Amino acid sequence: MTGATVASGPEPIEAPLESAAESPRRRFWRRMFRNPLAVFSMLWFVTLVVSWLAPDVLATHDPFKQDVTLQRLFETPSADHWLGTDQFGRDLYSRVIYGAGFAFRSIFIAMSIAVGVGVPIGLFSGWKGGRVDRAIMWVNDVLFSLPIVLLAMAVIIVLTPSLTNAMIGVGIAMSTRFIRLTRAVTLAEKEELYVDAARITGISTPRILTRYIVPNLLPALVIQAAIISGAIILIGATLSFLGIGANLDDPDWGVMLNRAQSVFRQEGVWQIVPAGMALVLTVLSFNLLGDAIRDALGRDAGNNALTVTKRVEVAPAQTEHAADAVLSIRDMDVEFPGQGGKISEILNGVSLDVRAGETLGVVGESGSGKSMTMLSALGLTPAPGRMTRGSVQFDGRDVTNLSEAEWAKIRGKDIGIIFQEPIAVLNPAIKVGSQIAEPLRIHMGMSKADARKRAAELLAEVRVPDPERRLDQYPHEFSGGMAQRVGIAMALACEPKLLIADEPSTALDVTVQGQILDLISEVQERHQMAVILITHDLGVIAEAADRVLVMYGGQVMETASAHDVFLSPKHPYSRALLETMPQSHDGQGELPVIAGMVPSATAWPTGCRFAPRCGFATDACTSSMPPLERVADPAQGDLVQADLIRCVRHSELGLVGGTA
Amino acid sequence: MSDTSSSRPFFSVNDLHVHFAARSRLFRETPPPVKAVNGLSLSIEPGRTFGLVGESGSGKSTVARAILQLVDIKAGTITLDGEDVTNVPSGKELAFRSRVQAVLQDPFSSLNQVHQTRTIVGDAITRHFGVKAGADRDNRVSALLDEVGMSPEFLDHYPYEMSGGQRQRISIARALAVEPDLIIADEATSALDVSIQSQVINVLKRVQAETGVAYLFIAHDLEVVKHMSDDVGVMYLGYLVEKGDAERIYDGPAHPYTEMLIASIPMPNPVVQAERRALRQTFGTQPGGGIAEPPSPSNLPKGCPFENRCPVAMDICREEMPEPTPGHHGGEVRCHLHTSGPELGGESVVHFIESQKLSSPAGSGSAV
Amino acid sequence: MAKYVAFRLLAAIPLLLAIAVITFLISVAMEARGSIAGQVCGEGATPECISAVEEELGLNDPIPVRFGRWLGDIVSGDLGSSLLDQNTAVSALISERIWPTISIVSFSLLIGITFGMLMGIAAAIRPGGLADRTISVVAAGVIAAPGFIMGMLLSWGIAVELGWLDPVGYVPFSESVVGWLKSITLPSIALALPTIAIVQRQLRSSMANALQSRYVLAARARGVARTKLIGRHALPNAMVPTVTVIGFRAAAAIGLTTAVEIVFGIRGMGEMLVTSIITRNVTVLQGGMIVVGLTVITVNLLVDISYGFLNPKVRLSR
Repeated sequence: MTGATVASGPEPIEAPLESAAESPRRRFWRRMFRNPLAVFSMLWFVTLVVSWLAPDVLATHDPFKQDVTLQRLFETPSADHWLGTDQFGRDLYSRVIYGAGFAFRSIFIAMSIAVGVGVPIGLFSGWKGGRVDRAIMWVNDVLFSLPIVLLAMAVIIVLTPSLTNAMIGVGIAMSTRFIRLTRAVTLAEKEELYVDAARITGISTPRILTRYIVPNLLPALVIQAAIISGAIILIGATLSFLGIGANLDDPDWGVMLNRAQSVFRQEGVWQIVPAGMALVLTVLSFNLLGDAIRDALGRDAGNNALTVTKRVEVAPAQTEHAADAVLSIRDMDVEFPGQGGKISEILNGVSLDVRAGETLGVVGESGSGKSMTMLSALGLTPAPGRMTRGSVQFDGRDVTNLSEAEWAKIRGKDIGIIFQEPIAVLNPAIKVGSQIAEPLRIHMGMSKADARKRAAELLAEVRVPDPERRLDQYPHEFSGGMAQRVGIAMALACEPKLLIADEPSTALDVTVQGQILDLISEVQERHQMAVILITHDLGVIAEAADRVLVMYGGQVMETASAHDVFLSPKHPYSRALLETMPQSHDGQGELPVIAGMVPSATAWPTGCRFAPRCGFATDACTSSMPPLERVADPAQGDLVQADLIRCVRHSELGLVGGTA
Repeated sequence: MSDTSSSRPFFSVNDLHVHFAARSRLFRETPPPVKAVNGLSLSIEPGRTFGLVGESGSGKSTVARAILQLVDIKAGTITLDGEDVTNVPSGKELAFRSRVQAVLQDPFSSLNQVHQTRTIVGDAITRHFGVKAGADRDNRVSALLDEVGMSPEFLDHYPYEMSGGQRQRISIARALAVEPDLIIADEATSALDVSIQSQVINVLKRVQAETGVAYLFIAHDLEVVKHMSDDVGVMYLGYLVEKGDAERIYDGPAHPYTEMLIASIPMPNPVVQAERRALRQTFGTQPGGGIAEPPSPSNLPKGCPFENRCPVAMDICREEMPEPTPGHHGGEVRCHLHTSGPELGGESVVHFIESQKLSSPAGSGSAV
Repeated sequence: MAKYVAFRLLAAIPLLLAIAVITFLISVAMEARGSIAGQVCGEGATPECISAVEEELGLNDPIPVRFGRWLGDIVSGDLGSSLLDQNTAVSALISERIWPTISIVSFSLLIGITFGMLMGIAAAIRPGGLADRTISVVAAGVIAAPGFIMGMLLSWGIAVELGWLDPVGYVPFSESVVGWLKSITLPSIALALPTIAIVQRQLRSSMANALQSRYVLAARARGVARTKLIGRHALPNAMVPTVTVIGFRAAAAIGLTTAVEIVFGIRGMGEMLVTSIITRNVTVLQGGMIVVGLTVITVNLLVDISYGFLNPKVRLSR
């Protein structure tokens, strides 16, 4: 091959792209301030902190001043006493304000002990691992499982009742939570390669712990601390309520509730409200804060495999479907809403056809949209993405707008799918036999016994040794290669017309990969299915595909017979991909490279999406997006095979190529 | 090796054994240890690359971790420049780290997300040369970035702001920061896309040409290893079953497993691949049509561990593990075919396997 | 499975021992402050009384000897006698007080697990939907409210204002089944409300994880219907962490029932423990702790056994 399509010699120094990702810190605060519950909790804290540091600013009365005039007792709110009075005529509003100080003191004492004891022990245990870790965690688990109230009681009886002593007990009990968390994070982080990398660099252990592990531990610690602060207040209040916490005259919320408890049935429920509300709101805002921090740090969760994005009117395709295709896609666009209303166009104008008995290889690098094409064609676009244009025809039927229930009748019956991670797609809690039997029972209406018999036959067909015994095993007892055979058996169960294999051999060893490819082509021949084989590995495509579809940046770049794509590729990207493979390169010199990197779906280049990395790009390439055009078959003089290409220069470059 | 005749190799591993003991538990039999590496020997000269290939579970990454002092070694010695570095005492660790560095597999987890490039690479400079954070250190980091083809703007980038290929080049820059004599690249390009992989491979080769650093290049991708390496070793279940000159091993493997691996590489050419497919189907399928899985590394057979997948296994293969014998490629091979049965004497096994295939059609692939 | 259960049972023995040690250390710590004998002799204790009591209780023996003796007593069911009243055996006290507590805690767990799971599944099916958002807000509020506040509100609303149930008191099961049920309803609900919220939140999040997994997508791609995806594919996997949380909650409920018992004037274990602390009656507290410890271990055992049922990996690896 000629190296003309790609840069040769030392590549240019790479500079960062303009639109760098939003920093996590900024994203965190943006999310926090956009969350009304988080804003509410932060405001509540400001109020509490003021009440704690400067109670006299907010309080209207002396919280201890009694007024035992009869009509001054058990008042409901009035202009003088905003929240009424208690059984000694004391102002409840002022007592609630002063109570904030008790709450914060409780948190301070208990949290210092819990974090001060818990984090170092957790770090030590997790880092050390082995026997030491097991011993520490065994003791910790014992303490962890005992009720905290009880542990606090044990400390109180030894030290005599007081809020401080109660909080020492709570702090010790709560340290078990921090030991657990710190140890779990440390254990997980220790396995991360960056820790190995630091050790290899020669960084000392204390420095690895403080500079590498702790920063990664911090978010989890902060979330835990927020939620535990809530729990500390709750337990402190409970102990005070029981009379073994704060002094019985103190304006502590728990004590106030203790006082209210003995009188509320006679004097009315209002006595519970001021301290109760203060307590509940404070605990609530700690919990909300913890949740908000977690949500703001994490990725957007909330959509699951069941979520079906609300359907939109799908714009029809511009071109006709191929009449003889089992699956035919025309002009498919798929979009994902992103940050700040920005829309990422994951797929743009994807068209493909696959016929019975034919294997279509779909090849592309990560982010090219090859897997998304298949998911979207089957109505499985992950939420919140959606198909906005195009049309899909399966077995002569328009399936573009099928409902989930209608799809369920086709998927698994007429279309079988094989996935990349063979073990992850098997349910760990269900026996393999039942999982294979599932589509048989759903689609073929088989009895349990028949389905099991058929499942054993299917396992034998995909050459799993000892199928009867294997039926009763669970997925974790299977090797990757065997699990993929199970995946193929499941996909074949109802003799589908179309088999979609999404990177079926990528996660497997190279010697197993060949067996899986052989198996797929063997069952295809037997059942005369149409097969779509998605992979990033051009070698796999070369072996198994009759026709090839090359994808880049969410678009089809080229469709042609396997022979043409490999021996006379027309698109510069197809050629460049082939040339960068070490297989295509003899000798020890530098490999040809494609400069730069795959563009992101939020920032496609204008014009041809490959143009910035293309050795042949001209101004025409960057000014407007080239259309996906039909290529005339020179031998036949017509467009029967519908070879497609998306390159404005393909006719001139075709002359340059021809390296077969 | 091609030049083992010289007196003392620059870097060598001799008869390395690494076992992972299973956890002993009360009231239960302790499971046997996982024998991850069994008697591995290799040597590397300055400026050269030794490629180590094998499938998952072959123990190739354990070899890297053993050399890097990250796992305990059961037996064997490792020497660097005549000095024993099998178990480096903590007092000499920094000196060892300044000579042996690594580039690890996963570009996402091998860089700490909380640090910028200037710290990730700079920490190594501080540790080994005592240059504190600041303009001087940044200049040195910039120079290293330049060496791996990146502009100084990347100094203040966090790992999450970079692509996989860029992150992997940061890893290389970090390894280069201490000016090592040997870099262990453990699946350094495996997680990358094809078009990015070639960029990183070129960077590694260019650095070697400029600095004379030696590589132990570990990967499961045979083609990448072939392109990178002068010498190649093939691992299967903890055993180094074959080693020798890279070109000659690929042209004429002396071990059936090596031949199986080579035959399994799919080539990006439909015409060529159609032929290779037939060759590949010689392996893996047992005469009965069943699939043979490799034995568990905690329960290795007493014979050759490849015996149950080998198309030309003999009776002796079930009985004893073959010892290394010299191979035609200047290295060694562990296979009974060279001393028993056909007594191939270290030559390529390709023709022998072809002839066996013709004589026994049951050994061929698709039968059902 | 039987082997797995047997192993878990064996593993509980050192756990029991650990709880015994912790409990025993309480009296050692108290004694270091000179409290135990002083407690028995009461205000203005004479040195003679103190030394006599110390002799009688064997407080002068070395600690290991005392621990051995104490442990032997406990194993034979003797938890000692109350420090304040030498004629009251702690075991008798506990056997009287334990039934109201067991009734309330188990009834509250039954309510909490049932409603918590139902609401968790309801919220997980459509994340961000109306049901999910409503339940989440209510759950957050309920988790923040301690059982005793809930108890007071229930007692005031249902019992005092509406008069449907008695505001205080406990009717033993042997006396009247209906009366028993009526007397434990409000305390159990008060204790169950946070349990419902905690179980709901955990199940919602672990269901969300399970529903995002590849195996659910794969099942959907095989034409498995929605109800089966939730019930057969996601729920069993989501139950593993939920069972853990239920176990913790069960243990916590044993501690938190104390305050609820006080609100409803029920003389159960909780009330006994609080009184023992205020009066520094250490033998009663120790007896209570041993019983609670046993209960917690039983709960842990049940949790471990459910793991075995839910997770084949756990079951088969033992």
